[in-house]
Amino acid sequence: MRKRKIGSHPPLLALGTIAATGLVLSGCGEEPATDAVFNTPTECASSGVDLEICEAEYQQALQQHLSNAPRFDGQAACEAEYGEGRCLDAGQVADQQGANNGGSGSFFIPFMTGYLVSSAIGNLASYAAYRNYRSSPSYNYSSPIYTNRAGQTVTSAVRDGQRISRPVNVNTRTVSRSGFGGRSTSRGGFFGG
Amino acid sequence: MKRITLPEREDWRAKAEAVGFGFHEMYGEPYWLDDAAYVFSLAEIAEAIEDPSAELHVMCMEVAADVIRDPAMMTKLAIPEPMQELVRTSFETEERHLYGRFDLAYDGTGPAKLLEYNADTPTSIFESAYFQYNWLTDNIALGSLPEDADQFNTIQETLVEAFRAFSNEPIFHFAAYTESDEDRGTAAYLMDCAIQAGHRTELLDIREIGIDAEERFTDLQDRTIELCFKLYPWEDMLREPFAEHLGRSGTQFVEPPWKTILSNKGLLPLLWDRFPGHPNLLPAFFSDDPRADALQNAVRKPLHSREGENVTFIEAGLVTERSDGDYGDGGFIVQEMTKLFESEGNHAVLGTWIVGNTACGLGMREDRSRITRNLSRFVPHAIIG
Repeated sequence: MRKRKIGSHPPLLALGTIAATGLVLSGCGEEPATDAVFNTPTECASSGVDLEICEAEYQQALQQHLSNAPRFDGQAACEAEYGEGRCLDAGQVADQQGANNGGSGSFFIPFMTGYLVSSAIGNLASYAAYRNYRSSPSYNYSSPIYTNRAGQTVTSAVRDGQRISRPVNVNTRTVSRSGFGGRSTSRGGFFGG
Repeated sequence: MKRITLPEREDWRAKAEAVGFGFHEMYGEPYWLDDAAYVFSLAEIAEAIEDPSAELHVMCMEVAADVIRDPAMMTKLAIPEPMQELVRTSFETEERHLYGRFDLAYDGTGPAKLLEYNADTPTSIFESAYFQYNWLTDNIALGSLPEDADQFNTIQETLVEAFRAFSNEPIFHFAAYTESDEDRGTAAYLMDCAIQAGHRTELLDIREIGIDAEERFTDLQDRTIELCFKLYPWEDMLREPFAEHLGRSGTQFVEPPWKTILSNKGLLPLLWDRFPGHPNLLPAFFSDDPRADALQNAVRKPLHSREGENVTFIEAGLVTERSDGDYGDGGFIVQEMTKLFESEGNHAVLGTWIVGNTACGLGMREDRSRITRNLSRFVPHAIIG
């Protein structure tokens, strides 16, 4: 029999309908993030979280960053990805911090400019509660945050044994909306292609 | 190639409603025809439609690479100068694209001719990929079509595969003009395919996109938008108030900004200039080119136009047919007229789907007028023999 031009499996709809609107639709059952980004422990504390917790989580995120951030042999190569003046020689820092260096010597990583603190931490009443939470299986590390050259907010992660930067959707404060969509609306509606 | 009629499926309206395909009627007119079909031979599909579509896409990418290197040409295509860097960078960093639809003229004889490339905001993908597929299998089961009837349609599986190539770490936002049932349905369908590829997704209206103090785009929950499908034309986005943030936002848009080159009707004269005499191209010139005036039978189209607006037919040097519209402000091209397949007063245009870089399916639209507009009807197709 000749090769057919039609797909061998009938197309399915994961949601069963294309009439869906505005819902948060999750491919893997995750709740939408309600986490907050802070640049410093002080800024974290000013949001009402215990300063000790803020500092501990900052250290935690920094450790993660030193161990997982993409590494470059030279400053120029690193800056090409993350922008001028946004990389540091982390070889020495990593040794001091005891992070997994994977070898000694000089290497460059992007600066961590902030950290993404999970909403669960914001709800903790005391440092004691935080210590309990940290040893619980539901503990979510605060993630290191920085931007790449394109301005995208990224964090450090290891995937398939490679240190990478990956985008994160951080919570922020919107200052303005309706900056797109005006031209076609004013034409009395837009109907695609 | 021929147009046939067959009994409509008794329950097709219920089936349409069940999957949220509410726009099978638009403006009070039928949009989906269940009781008609275009029938092709396998050779017609493979040799006259599929292979040329794949080749045309490669040719278009070559033209895009030329335009990227030529600021004067970007200006000629009415890409605003402050936005040209954005367009150039998106192409040079090979920002991934998702899909597009070629509109082709073909009547079963001679080569198919490219009418235009809807490379930025194509619709009718759900009808082509999903509803048309079920129409075929239902009609085979009903005995209305032969057992071995086939269809040029691996669109959905190719879409799901294409969505797998995007990072599934950030939320995949889908922005559309949601008051349009057709636009919202199209975005929701593509979002469904993204979910099948393992993405977390969220649908929002294009006007709901926000900006934060650091020039990052945001959704209604005040989360940054890192990866965003938008069913909204680049030529408008590049001229709207938030355009100034595009370069620094860090958001990866799908389609990427460079698609504005391919969805521009200026692509047609550029293709003809680079591949003169190619069998799947029609002679085409910018309207300020003296050679444009020499075309006695031609179609004049704005650089930016959708739904056949502001199109003028010129026959024996005289204007014979003209469509109204709001798209006339960005320059025009003139393309030699070609014959559309015509049957009982219906003019048919073939829409071939390019997903990623693969030609993977066909959707037919027909219209009483030679200008395929938003009142045209979608007609399923089958390959028989």
